[in-house]
Amino acid sequence: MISFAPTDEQLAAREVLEALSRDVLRPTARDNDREGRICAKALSALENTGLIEAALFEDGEARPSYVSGAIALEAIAYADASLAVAIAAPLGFARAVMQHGSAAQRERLVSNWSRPGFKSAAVLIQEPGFFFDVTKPKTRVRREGQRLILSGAKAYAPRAVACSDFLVVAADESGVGAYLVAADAPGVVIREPDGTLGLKSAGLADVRFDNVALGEGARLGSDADVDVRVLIAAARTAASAIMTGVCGAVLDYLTPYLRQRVAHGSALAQKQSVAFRLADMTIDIPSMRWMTWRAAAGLDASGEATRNARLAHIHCVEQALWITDEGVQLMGGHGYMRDHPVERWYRDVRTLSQIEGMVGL
Amino acid sequence: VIGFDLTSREQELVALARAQGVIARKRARHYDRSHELVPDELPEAAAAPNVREQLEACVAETSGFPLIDTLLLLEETWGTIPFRKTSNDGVFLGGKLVSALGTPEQRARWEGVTIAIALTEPGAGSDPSRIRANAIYDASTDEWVLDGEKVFISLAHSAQAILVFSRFIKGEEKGMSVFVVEKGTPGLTVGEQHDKMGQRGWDTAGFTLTECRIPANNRLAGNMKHTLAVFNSSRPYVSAIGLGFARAALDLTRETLTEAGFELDYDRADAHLPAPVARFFSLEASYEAALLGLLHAKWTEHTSGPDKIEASMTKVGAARAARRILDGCLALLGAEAASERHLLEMWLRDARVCDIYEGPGEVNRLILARELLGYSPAELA
Repeated sequence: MISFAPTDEQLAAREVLEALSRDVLRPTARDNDREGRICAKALSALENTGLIEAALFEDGEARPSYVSGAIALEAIAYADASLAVAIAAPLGFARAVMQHGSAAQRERLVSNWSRPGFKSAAVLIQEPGFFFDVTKPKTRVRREGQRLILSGAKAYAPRAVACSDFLVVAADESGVGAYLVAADAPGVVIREPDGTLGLKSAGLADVRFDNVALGEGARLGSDADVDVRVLIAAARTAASAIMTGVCGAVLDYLTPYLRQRVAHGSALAQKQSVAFRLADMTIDIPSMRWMTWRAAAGLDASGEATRNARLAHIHCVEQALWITDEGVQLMGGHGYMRDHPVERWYRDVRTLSQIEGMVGL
Repeated sequence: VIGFDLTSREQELVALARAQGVIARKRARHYDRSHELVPDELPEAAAAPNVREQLEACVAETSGFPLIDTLLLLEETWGTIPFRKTSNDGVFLGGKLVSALGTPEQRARWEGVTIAIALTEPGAGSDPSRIRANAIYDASTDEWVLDGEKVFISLAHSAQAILVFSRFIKGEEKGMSVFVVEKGTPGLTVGEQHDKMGQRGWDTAGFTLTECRIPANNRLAGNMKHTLAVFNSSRPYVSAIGLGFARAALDLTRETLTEAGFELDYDRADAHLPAPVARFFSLEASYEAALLGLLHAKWTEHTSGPDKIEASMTKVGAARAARRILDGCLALLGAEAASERHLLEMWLRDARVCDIYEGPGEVNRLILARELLGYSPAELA
């Protein structure tokens, strides 16, 4: 059956998150961006959403749905993409472990994360260097006797400095696998952020692995190998949800501004060349959402969503680039000033759209 | 619950519709070249089942009639204009307007009659206030006397009657109204088929009304606003037609790329894909997004009734996507794509009109922008 109707629970959760976004999270975004860190108030609000706890479901409990995750991330990204990334990184990590991990790996995560406080962890796919191909990691795991040794470097770990755990996608004997690595393991070097075009408060930084000896059972999964493509599909879907939220914010910010700003005798919004661009946004933003939902529904149903997640990502990147670009353009000089959020949304989308595999649902 | 998968019953119906698209496609070039009209029924499809009857019979097991009906039209249009009367009933026919606006007596009188809709004039397209056709009431005979000219009218030749949008004057009363002019009425002269760039087998012509007298009760009572609201459920059909051509072009392009040895690897990022594959993925993404927009419009119609905004959204979104996809596939496949050895060049011509008829993209953007900004037509013209 085809239906675009969220469940009552999803609608209720969305309403709560939208209010949180508007009243609590959005007002922190500008200062967070300037200072390159997320303030305690926003972090604690994110923690209180309970999204991470929900991801740590027990055996026998219903698995939280990817569609619900997409709805939640869009609502948070409406406030700020960096905040959405900050929670989507540990979400992606927890989801990967809970869904694909062995019983021991799941139990360890649930017990380690039982104490209160904001959890930071990340799935690491992206690597430093121009022209990186997500399907061909240079980071490697090699066997030395009985031991597995991880070496290489990963880039753009959200809140890397605060992370307790990483899931590192690396080339190995059997192709590509995902490996659980504690952030305090010997040989793990977390660098200070170099700074990025956007997502500045997410503290994106490189993590180096200098011959890190991996513990028994570090490879994610039990018997069968984990298909890393599923992690990438989930990450693309999450990024699509975040870009949808940012674009919704752009349109809602532009609309009242363009109605009140007068030039050459009429409001900017009364000029067709301006109004038509807004009209196109009202078409494209919902379509971003539906493409994202369809990919997420595929992940829920079968775990397989490579094609739909890729097409959602392509569509959302294409739309988010033009919509955030118009966000700056249509506000003229004001759009270029950091007093208004549109220049931040422009930078955030251009950063997020380039990084694959950083976030999850 | 949010879901996007067709049930097995729905898939069967879609396959039946596609089979009709395949049959029609075999004749497509003939009608394109000969400029003959596509008949209501092709002989080789005479035995084919009536898919909409089947849909009605099992509608409770589906996502709803409006949604699946539209998907069927998309499949029937897989590479050529649909030939079945059952496919076109909802799209172009004035019967819907008669049943929406007519009195019980009028509905009974024109029941089962094919009625074309005539709005556009040489000097008036999307702006009904520019209509110059005029109907003057003649009290001595209790008749309307119509004068005017209409163009671009679907089914002008094959319909048994035409619904004419016209000004009227009745004593002191003036305004805009709708009149049913039956074929054979003196003063009604239907012109030759328009010589169109595409959809050449589709019946499209103009007509003139010269002191054309019709009975007083051939005027439909409804007002203009209600009349135009009927287009809210038909406009998305144009999206389905545009996407049917786009889908055909994408299928051909996918097949060709695969035969040429390109792997369609949905994992790798654009920078690491061959350029034709990356371009193809982008076109596919446009198609899927426009398809979801169409499904959303029809899902909304099913759950809460036809909606002007939804109709305009999908009309703009799908027509824009169809234009982009057809151009993109032509560019991907190279010079051979312009040859009449293949149907792609015809699909390009056929699909192009989808952003023009039933309200061009610009008019629908005006509707959307006015809604978003809370502007009247005077404030945003």
